[in-house]
Amino acid sequence: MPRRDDTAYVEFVNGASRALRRTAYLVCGDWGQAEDLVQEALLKLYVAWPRVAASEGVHAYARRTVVNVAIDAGRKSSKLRSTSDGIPDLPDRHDPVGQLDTRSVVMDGLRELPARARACVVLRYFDDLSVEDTARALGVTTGTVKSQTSRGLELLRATFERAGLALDLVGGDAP
Amino acid sequence: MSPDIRELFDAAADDSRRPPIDAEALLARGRRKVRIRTAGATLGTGVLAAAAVVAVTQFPSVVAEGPVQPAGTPFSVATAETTPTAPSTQPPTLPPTPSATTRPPQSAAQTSGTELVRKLSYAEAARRCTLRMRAEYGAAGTPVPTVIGPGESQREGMYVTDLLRIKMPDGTEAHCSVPGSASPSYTQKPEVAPGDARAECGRLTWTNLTSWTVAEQRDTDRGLVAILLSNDRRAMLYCDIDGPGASREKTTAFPGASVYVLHGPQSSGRAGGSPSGVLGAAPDSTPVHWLGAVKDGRQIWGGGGLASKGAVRYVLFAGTRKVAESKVFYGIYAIRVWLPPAAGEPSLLRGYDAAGTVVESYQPF
Repeated sequence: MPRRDDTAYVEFVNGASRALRRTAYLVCGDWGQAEDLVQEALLKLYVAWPRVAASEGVHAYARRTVVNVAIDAGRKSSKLRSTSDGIPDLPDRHDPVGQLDTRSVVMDGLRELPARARACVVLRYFDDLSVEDTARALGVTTGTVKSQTSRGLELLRATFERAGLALDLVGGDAP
Repeated sequence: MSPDIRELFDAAADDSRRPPIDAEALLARGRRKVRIRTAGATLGTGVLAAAAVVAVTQFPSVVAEGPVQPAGTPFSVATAETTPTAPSTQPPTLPPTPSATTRPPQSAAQTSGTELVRKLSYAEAARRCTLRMRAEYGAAGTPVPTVIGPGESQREGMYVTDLLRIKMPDGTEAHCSVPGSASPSYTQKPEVAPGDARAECGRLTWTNLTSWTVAEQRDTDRGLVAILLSNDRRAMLYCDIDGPGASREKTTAFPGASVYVLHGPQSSGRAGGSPSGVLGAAPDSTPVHWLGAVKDGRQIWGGGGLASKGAVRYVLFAGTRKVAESKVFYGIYAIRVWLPPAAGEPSLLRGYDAAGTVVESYQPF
């Protein structure tokens, strides 16, 4: 049985946790929850480390766990917390109002998406995963990823239009 | 030039002012988690936190919204050695008086007992289901717009009238919305003839469930939630599956589902089963009970519907050792069970009536 390499685990956490947290935030819409999700996923990773390290990429495993845990967490509260709800947990005095508005529109747009479509869009366009890798991460078919991504982008566009923002979703290739 | 979506996401997820995750602290928690999993002895704070998460996820549809009735009184019990193999044996001795404490046991010295943490009456659960159904899927009778192909189950959309409609290979349509009487799995081939509806969606224990009303049915990405109400509104079936890959887009049984069947005095008897525990309802409307599906560390979480006829208390055994005892609750509820030190995983649950006769006995996990 492979040994649990604690040093490698710590190195991985230090190197990957930030990206995982950002992905989790886009999927769940709340920084605090994203932090919890990532820690939960990383704990699972530690338990599974000997097996995962020997069989597949730990980052892919961690990302898959984060996203799936985030989706599971979404079941607890059928709707994500609005980014406009409550008081921001960290002051951000350096952001122009325009950027804050744009962020709010982006997060509101993501919030409107069904969980799977949201995860597809985030993995495809934030994590730059291929359709195949996204399908593997979510445990769905590539066809599902394409359809969900397309649906997600369509809904995002609608959200932007409602917000009066002339934003083009030109990133990435076709879903 | 308008920013592309990658730039938008990048800006929205700016975490430059957030502190990094403490890898060493995580490592310590991970080590503790592994120790607990390996030894099954020390109850650490990490497990408590995980158990709290489990508690919330266990009953997402029926307890996660709105006010709930206050938690019940913890019902602490003394542990005792018993012999659970003979059905007619006398039940373990109850403590003289149930504990009157109102807070769950949290100290190392108090590690056994049960507590009712959430409870909804059937009527309240049905009301919430209906409200959510209307909010999410529209009024009753919303047509199913999707055309399904041979061999396919219904795609996308969850609607009031949606009963996991499937089309059989011969072109006929059937409905699948029931848990298996045995333990179907994704990898296990159905033990039915080709073309049988069960080959498509699992074992149809309740074929007449197609006439039931879907109060709620959701594709939850990694699982399905379905709540069905009988026509007389006196019986409810709650199915919740967390299995990855479960989807409305393909044939889905309910292996490992959490199932509740609630029967009122006027409902006709139906019975079913779940890998998590026997569910039963006799023709005389003997209610069903289910307890236990999720466990984490030394806390056991369970919940269910109505109790077996005559049942007044339930007792969990680990091997021959009595590890916890619970009063009988009616409605949809979640209970939390603390296992005493060094107790193994519960392997048997028994329900007793007031006379001490075993009225129900099954493996809870």
